[in-house]
Amino acid sequence: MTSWPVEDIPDNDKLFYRVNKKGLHDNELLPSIFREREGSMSVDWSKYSTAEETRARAPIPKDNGVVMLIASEIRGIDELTLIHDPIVNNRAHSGVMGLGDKSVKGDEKIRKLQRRQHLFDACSERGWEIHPDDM
Amino acid sequence: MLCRETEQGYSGQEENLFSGILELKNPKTTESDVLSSLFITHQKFTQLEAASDLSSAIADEKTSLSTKDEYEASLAQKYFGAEKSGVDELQTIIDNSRWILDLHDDWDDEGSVGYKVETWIRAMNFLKNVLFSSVNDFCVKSCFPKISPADDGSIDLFWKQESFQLLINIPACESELLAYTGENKWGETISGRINTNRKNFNIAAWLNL
Repeated sequence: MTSWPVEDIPDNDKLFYRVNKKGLHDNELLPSIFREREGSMSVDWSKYSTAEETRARAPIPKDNGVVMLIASEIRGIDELTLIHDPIVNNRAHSGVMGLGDKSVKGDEKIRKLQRRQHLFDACSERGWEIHPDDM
Repeated sequence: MLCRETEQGYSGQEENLFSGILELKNPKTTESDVLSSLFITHQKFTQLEAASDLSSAIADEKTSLSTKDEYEASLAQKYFGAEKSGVDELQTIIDNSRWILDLHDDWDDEGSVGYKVETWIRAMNFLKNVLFSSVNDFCVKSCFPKISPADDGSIDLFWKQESFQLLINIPACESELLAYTGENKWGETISGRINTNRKNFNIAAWLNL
């Protein structure tokens, strides 16, 4: 089993984030696309992955689109950190930590909402890197 | 468009229309009071629905919302001057969000939580409350939000306009407060946590920027 080294992700590098179209109406990007799974929001570092490869890693690729974020945009949002977190089958795998899950309480819920909104602001003008309907 | 406090109370004809609502007999009663009372009644009705068995709630939900919408529409037209097209448009927005209820647990094949009809009903009632408050309290017909499924079974209402953004998240757990945050083009911000079932003037005011 190969263990990939953890590297620093430069601020100007791209990260790809997969979005399932079943959670969208008319494939419209909204703040609700951003969510944690198992403690972080998974993204793929462009140094080791293309957007197409990110999509291909989905359980059902054709149900997914891909948006792109810049490392500095993620790090510019309060309390969000970005780390390279390679896994066996995906050297590009990285994690956005600090978005928050259902366990957050009190005013932290507001900050979680603000972080989602800021992530949306970061990628909404660029739009889709791969549109869900692209074959 | 009407937006006034009645100085001499409501007429007998209007009292007949709303017989049973004691507040109408109070000369100080405002249109806002009347609408609030009606909303509370509707919300209690909805809570009773949610408390009953789920399949029954789902079966009744369309009918109850439809009945309420017709009632609210008639109110809006009679008292607040809201155009019928606006009420119809709201109903369309609500109807078009029903697809969220088709998302069950693991809908994305990656373990995401599904959406309960109770959460959706609370979200739609809250939306109606906010929009009717906008008409009633600020005399403005507000724009409509995007309604979308968010994390952990919660539902987002999101307004993005040239002058402001507002994001509201209705949690899946009824006992939790909803959270909201917004920012306008002047850099002013608004945020907070409130009970889904309570009227909130801050949010209605924000929608009228």
